[in-house]
Parts: sequence; structure tokens; C-alpha cells
Amino acid sequence: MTATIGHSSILLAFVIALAGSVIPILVPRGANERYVTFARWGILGQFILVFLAGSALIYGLVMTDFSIRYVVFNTTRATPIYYRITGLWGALEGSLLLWEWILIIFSGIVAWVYRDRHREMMPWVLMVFCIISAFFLGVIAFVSNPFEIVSPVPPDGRGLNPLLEDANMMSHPPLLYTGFVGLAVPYAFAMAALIVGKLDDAWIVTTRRWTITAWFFLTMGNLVGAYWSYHVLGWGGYWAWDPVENAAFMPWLPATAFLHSVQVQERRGMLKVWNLSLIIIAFGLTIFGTFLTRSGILSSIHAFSSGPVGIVFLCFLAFVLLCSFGLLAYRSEHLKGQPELDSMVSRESAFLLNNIVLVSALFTIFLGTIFPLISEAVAGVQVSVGAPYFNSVTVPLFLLLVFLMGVGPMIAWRKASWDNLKRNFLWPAAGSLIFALGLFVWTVRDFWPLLGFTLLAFVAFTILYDTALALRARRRIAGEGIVSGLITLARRNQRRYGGLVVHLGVVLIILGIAGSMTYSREREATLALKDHLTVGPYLIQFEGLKESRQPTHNLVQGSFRVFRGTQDLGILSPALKFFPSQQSPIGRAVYQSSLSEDIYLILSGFSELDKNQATLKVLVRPLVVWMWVGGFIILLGTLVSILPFREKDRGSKMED
Amino acid sequence: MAWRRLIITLAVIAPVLWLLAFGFQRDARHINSPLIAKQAAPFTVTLFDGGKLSLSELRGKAVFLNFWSS
Repeated sequence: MTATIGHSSILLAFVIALAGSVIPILVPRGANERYVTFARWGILGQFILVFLAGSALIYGLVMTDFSIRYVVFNTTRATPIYYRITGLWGALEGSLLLWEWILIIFSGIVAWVYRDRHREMMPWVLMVFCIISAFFLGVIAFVSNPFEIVSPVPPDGRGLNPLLEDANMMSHPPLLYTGFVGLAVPYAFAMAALIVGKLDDAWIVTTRRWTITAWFFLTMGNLVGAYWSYHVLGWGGYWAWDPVENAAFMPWLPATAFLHSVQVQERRGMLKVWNLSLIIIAFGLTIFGTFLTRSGILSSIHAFSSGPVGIVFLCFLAFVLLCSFGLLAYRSEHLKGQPELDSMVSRESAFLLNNIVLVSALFTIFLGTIFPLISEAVAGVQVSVGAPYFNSVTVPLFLLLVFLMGVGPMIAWRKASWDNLKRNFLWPAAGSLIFALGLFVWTVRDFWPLLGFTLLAFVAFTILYDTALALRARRRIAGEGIVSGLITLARRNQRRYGGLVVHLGVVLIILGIAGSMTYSREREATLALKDHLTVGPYLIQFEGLKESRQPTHNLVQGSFRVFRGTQDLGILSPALKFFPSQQSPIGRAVYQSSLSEDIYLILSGFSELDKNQATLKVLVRPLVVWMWVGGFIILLGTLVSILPFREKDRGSKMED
Repeated sequence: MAWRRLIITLAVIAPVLWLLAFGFQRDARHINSPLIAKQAAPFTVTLFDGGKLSLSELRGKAVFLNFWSS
């Protein structure tokens, strides 16, 4: 029954979406008004039907309705209720449904918010949403159906992959999907602008908040994924340049480039074709990411079962790219006559450079990701490139980006005068040079870390210095203190100060990455009872093993007492979990964080006979905690830039 | 003009799509081992009862090595 309700809702929604995709092409030009009404009802209809289907699947999962195949493979009777719900995105079929669900929520909000605006563009915006929605609904209905029936009904289910039983499972996939789907909004408006031929910056101004929101979710999705990997997977890392990780990260690069380059278009009317291309690429990459995850064409820890889904996604990717770029080429005549750069020393050229760096990073990561395909197609042998390639290529690019992050927001538009440069950069540059000297004298002697930390300090100094100058001006003009001055500044220019706060968050994340990349230490040893191991300032002593039965698995815990110098940090208990359904045990690493470094313990083995020996891996990872702090700062900055708390509405154009 | 741009666009996109489609014809998990048809490296292992076993003692027999998880 549940399955029937779910599947027929999807089928009906698919028909509505198809109608919505085709009708605007068929109706005569003047009948737009009637189409918009129809399309709005169509979106509402899909919204209700997809809501029904999604709820049906969740209901099936929660009630452990094992007549549905998807439920069998993603829950058991012993699964706690919250992991039953997260089973919705535990596998391919359900996660496509979640994707469609988020998409239709976004479409619904767009249709409702802009019900009285953009009368010319809206029919096409809704049409683009209907096309995307029709694709996903078609895949759900015919290719990868989450409501497939299984008979005879098994007594119990197989359950989620144990690695997915973690609190981050509740947030990481929905965040990432929301980021992916969010990019559909600026994409749909861009396509509508191209179709209508209304190529001013209306579509950019309209979708500004949407783009920032999508960017935020994309950032958080990646960051929470990294945290999950660090916290659960038990290898002490947070990023492995796995193809699927790259697939999640790649859309972030053009999306970030887009966020910056649209400001140049708003200000100077430049980069129109570039901005359209960036948003097409960003949206295309979200489809590419799903294609990569689901097709199994590259070997990856994240790869799901391969099947016809991959081919369907590839066809849709081809459709999206050919239509979008075809349309762009068709309209290219209208996009001419843009002003040129006045000077190389200006904000627009800093933003342009930032775009070039981001797109280069995208290109190198894309190349590295599909390299096994290239090498096999060209040379007939499979060669894959790993972390060394990605690190050595992207680190210099990202450091250049950090430098630009310090320059871009402070340098003047058009042509920076000598005074402007001196005013904004003299003290921050001097400060960061002194900082670098301090680091050098202290211990940091290697080139890349020294450069990295200095550039990060430079960005932080430019932001703090600029804010301090603005605060001083507020005190002079209005007699405001630091807190009230900050509030006034943020309210007067949300976008600028929100952006600067986000930059501080990014600085902290890169600080964490730089620290853990360059100054990590690790050791592995087999310890007998009361034996110890030293890593840096830490001494770890083995106190014994303990075995216990858990509801879903057998748990073997090692007890290790950790000392830092003479200070006793207490017992840490890394463990191995033995699931009956899994061939190899799953580790539970434990770590203790401090602001300066994490100590991370992994139990990699133990003697099964007398349980008096354990093999322990110890990692000391400096500054990792700042990555997670940076995430919170980005959340704060995003809120500052998008929440509607300006003093009074000063129209859609905000000053900078 | 528009046609020329269209052709350039197509010339960039088509090879990428072709490459991705090419991916379906191969098995990403299939990697040829460089050790096939080479002589096995000699080794000696300690058994649970404390005894030793060398590969050379098994000369002439088929040997199946199972690298298990623990």
C-alpha cells in the first residue's frame, strides 16, 4: 500500500513535470501569463506529490515495511528510529528522491517568492525547474525505483552500512544535496535570461541570496563530510582526493568564482559570458558528481552499485551542457560591447585573477579525477593519480587565492591609487612580515608552511585593520563603541561585512589544513600490557583490552592512558567493531582536541589469543580544530550577509 | 558568428562526454597485476603453535593465500 502510494505519486508528478517542460515551447508568445499560472499550479502539484512519496518512503522505513526492497536494504528491526529516517538517503534510490524533494521545495519557494515579479523570465525559470524535476522523477519512476516490491517479505532487513550509523549521516548528505540543488536556482534564472534575451544583470541581482545560500550549503556539506571522515573513518585524515570527494568539491570552485565575478558584472557590466559559463559549469558539475558516484566508471570508496543510472545521468549531463552552451553561443552577439579593464591594479582585476585561479584549480582537479579514463583511452593502461598530484598542484594555487582574499576586498574599483594601496595594505603587510619573522625565529623554517601562515596572517590583518579603521570612523561620526559600531557597519553593508566574516572562516579552515598537512606526526607500535609509546610530547601507555556485546556488533576496546609531559590526560579507548554482516572490522578512532593540536588514537589490531597485546597507531595533528571553528564562522558570516535586517530597504543595489 | 561559437563549444564538450561514455566500456576495479606469471617471492611465517612454514616446503603444490582482515 505504502509502495503503491509512493510510486503512483512519483508517476503523476512525472507527468506534470513533463507537461511543464514542454508547454512553454508550444504556447504562443502572448500566452505567457496563462502558462505561469499553470506552471505555478504544476510546481505546487509536484510539491505535494513528491512530499507524499517522500513521506511514504520514510513511513515505510520507520514502520520497517519489509515488502519494500529499499527498506530491506536500509534498515533492520533493531535500527534506532533516527537511522531509519536517515535511511532515506542511505542508498541510491532514496537519495535521488531526497534530491528531487529538495529541488521541488526550492522550485516552490522560487515560484511563490517571485509570483509578481520577473513576468518575462518566470515562465522559463519554472520550465527549467520542470525539466530538471522531470529528469529526476523519470529516473526515480523508471530506472531506480525506491518503491520496488520484494516478495516473499523477508523477516528482517539487512540494515545500513555500519559506517553510515553516525550523527553526521543526518547532516552531511542533506547539506550537500541542498548545496547542489541550490545552484539550480541561479542556473534556472541564467537560462531564462538567455532564452528571453534579457541579458542585463537582473538575473544576477535576483539570485544573489540564493547563490550565497547554495554556496553556504555546499561549503558545509564538504566540511561536515571532512569532519565525518576525520571523526568516524579512523584513518586520521579528513580529505583523500577520492573521486567522489572531488565530485562534491568541484562545484564549489566555480560557485565561489561566480560569487565574486558577479560583483564585477554588477559594478562594471563586465564578464557577462564568463558568469553565464560559470553557473552552467557549476550546475553541470552537480550532475557530473552524481554521474560519477552512481556510474561506477571510476574506482572509489564511495562508489555505489553501477547500473543504468550512470548512462541516464550522462545523457542528462550531455543535454544540459549542449543546450546551455548552445544557447549561450546563440546569444553571444548580444553579450558584446563590455567595458575593458581600466587598470591591472584594481578590484576587478583581483577578482578576475581569483576567478582564473579557481577555474585552474577546477581544471587540475577535474583532470586528476578523470585521469584513469584519459590514460586508458589514450595509452590503454590505467594510471590513477593520488594525493601527491593533487596536493602539489593545488597548494600553490590555493595560496595565491589566499593572497587575493586579502587584496580583493580592500583594493579600489577601476584603478587603485597609491594612496589607496598605502592606506589599506601598508600596515597589514608590515604586520604579516613581522609575524613571518616571528614564526621563522620560533620554529617554522620550511618555505611552504612559512608562506602559508604568513599569507593567512596577511588576510586576517587586512580584515581586522579595515574594520578597525571603519570603527574609528563610526566613533568619530556617531560616537559609537566597538559593539554598536560593528552592528551599524554590518547592517549598513551586510554583503561586505558578511563576506569578510566568511573570509575569516576560510582563513581558519586553511589554517587547520596547513597545520595538519605540514606538521603532523605519527607512530605505530605493538604494545604489551603497561608498555608505552612516545610521540612528540605525548606518552601513551597500554592499560588493557575489553570485549563487549553490543546490539548490532561485538566491540573490542583498548584502554590507553595518555600523558602530555607530566600532565595526565586520562584514558582514551579506541576500538574495533565486528559486525556480523561485514568481512572486516570497523575501527572507532578516538581523539582529544585542543586549540593547538589533536591527539588521535587508532586501534589497528590486537592479539586474539590472550588479549595482552595491542597494535596502536598514534597521530598528532596540529591545528585541526580550527577547521571546525572556521565552519561556524562561515555560518555566522553567511547569516550576516543574507538575513534581511538592513536598517531600511535601499533598493536591490547595495553599495559597497 | 553564432555558428562558429557553437562549433567551438561542441568541440570542447563532445570529447569530454565521449571520454565519460568510454568509461562504461571498462571495469574500474580491474587492474592488471604486474606479478602475474612471475615467480612468487619466498617467505616464512610463524604458525599459531609456534612452528615455522616456508613457501619452499610447499614446492610442487598449489598454494592459496588468503589475506584476511585481522
